Amino acid sequence: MKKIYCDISATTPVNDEVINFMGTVHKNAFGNPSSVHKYGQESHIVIEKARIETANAINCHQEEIIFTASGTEANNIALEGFIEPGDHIISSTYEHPSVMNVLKNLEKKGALLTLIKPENDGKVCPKKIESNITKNTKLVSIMFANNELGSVNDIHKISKLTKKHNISLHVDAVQCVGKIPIDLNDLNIDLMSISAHKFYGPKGVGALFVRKGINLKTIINGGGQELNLRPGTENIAGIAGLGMAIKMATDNLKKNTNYIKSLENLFINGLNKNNINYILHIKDRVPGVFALGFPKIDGQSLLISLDLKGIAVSFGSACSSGTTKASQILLDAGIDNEIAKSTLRFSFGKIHSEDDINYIVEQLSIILKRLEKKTYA
Amino acid sequence: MHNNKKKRVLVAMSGGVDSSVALIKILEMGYEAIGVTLKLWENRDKKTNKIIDSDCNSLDAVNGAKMVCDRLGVHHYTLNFIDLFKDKVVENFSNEYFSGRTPNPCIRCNSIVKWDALINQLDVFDADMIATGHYARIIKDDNQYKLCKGLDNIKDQSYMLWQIKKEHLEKTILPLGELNKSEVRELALEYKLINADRSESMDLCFVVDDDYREFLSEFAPEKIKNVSDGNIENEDGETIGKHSGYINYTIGQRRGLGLSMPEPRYVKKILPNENKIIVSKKDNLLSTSCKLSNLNWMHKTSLPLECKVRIRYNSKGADAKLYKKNDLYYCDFSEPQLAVTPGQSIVFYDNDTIIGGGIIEE
Repeated sequence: MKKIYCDISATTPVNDEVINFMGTVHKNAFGNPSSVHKYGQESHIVIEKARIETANAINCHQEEIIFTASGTEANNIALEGFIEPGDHIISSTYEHPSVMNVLKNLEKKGALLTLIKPENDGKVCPKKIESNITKNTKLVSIMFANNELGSVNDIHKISKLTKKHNISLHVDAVQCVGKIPIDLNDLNIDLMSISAHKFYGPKGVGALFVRKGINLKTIINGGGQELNLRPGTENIAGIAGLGMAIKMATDNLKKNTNYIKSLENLFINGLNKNNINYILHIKDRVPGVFALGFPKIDGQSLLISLDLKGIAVSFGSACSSGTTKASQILLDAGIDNEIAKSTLRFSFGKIHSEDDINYIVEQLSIILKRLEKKTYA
Repeated sequence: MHNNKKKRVLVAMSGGVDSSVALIKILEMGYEAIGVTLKLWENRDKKTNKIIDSDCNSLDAVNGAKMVCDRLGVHHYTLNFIDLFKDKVVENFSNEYFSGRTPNPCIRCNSIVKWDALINQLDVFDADMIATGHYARIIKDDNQYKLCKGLDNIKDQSYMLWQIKKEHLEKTILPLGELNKSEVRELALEYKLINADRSESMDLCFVVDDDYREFLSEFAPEKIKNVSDGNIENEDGETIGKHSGYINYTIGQRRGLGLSMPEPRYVKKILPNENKIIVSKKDNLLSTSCKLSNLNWMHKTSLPLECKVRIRYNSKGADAKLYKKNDLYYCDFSEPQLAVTPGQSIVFYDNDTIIGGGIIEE
């Protein structure tokens, strides 16, 4: 049976080059990067090279990159390290749990929180952010792109207004790095979170961009690694893998984007040609990411049916899967409850071929015909 | 659907040894199998919001099911039926207790969730039948499908299945019905299933530590507020003690009544409206008949009918006569029965075959 992985937004397979490189690093650079001897120095160099590659990929200084164990950890270090009781934070209702749950915790500790709902186009309105600014507002935290919808926020506009009001800006860019161009010289972002496994790098490694002049307090205590913001012996191979993967993603960004857009067209044309009844929720999206509603079809049933045909997609975000409830994120974006329950996320990437897309459309068409016959309780 | 293909069977997997062996048997029979674990409940710690494991739904159980499926090269899915289970099983469980009755939620769960809802999923999986690890048999006889006791007398679970719709029997396979527990364990060991010697609990899957009173106080706080101390009376209406809230008692209960009598007293009646518990001596706990409701017939039959009935899971069965009067169903026992409990199930048997069942009223 054909097997097609279409859940690029959840995670990506690791580039072969990255796998090989990581193997070499594991083998050759095993010394503790903090050690004075040659072994330590070699490992240290591997990490610093990756830091330079990461900084180049998003156009910042290498001292502004902190390696972490995940995007989640990067979000925690940024928010917990920056906010004090009494500070006001503006964020959105559709942030990833690794932001949302940290914010809720900070609120319990005395921070003030304003959450803005996304508009029907899946974006947070910059004007609404501005109108909620108070004299205590210290931070705006908005995700670059939403993981369930694929919608991309106007971070450029948001970063201009935070600068105007002298407020710091944190951006969870986990869904965007390597998929849309990010130039930190152009954007007034102060803190930005990254995760390697979303751009064909390894799992268990992420990074936090901390702009010069931003002071974070330590929330993890240890031996002082990563400017004492993420102490603990470094995941050398993981960091090396991140460095190589982010370089590959940004070097080939234009080429990959054009290719993925051609697959998108093929997919949409295929859906139309087969008279498949669908609703594409978001127009302005991360390339390759589709939140598609199939009216009158139970999303979980469709997901399982596709999986049995070897096609892997997702329902809600991977982190909250296993529930039949409509995703709150889709509801907040103005999507009707029934349509939300019928919505699946297809995410395509450079790994897909035109044949893959044709097979998906063909199977979708067959399965939908079968499922349409039945209304599920 | 699969004329040239193997028939596809959805196997309900709890992660325990029985359902794992059921899956093995289904594969041995030559079917294509898909494992499904039903997520029915989630208990969360009020303070930390951490998920508390309860038996059926523990992460251990789901992971156990996934491991077994993976070993056998079978797809596995977890289906979320939390809302259905809450609406149809837990609500009823709570209402029954607050009405002074003793419910049997596992039986409702079998018919409404494990059968109705799972059979409703057949189309989704493009599957033909379901299978579970219950110890009971389905036998085709004269073009009729019959639900029969499992061959292992001790493990027989047919009593728990009386509420299943008759038409679902032909879409069901019960691969353990012909086996006894030791054969099942041997098979599990043969296949090196890690859960082969895991003990199986008979506790309610949604109740932590088997403490249903604590569960009710969390599930229905508004109702529990109205449950207060009251009087324990004898059959002559004399107050002989205090009870701590009627939901804490079941018919036939002897312990924990706080009475000091030369001869033990048992709970005979629970009267929620009057907030009273009536107790009696053991002899007066015997009933010769009861009224029935919610009947489900699995077999063509005409009333009156002489048959064996079981009024609880582990009972041997008693001779009885079923009949209908003024549109109501009754059961007369040949020998008086102890602690016939409203809310519990009564199941009718013709030798090994289930004819039907109902709920005991009064």
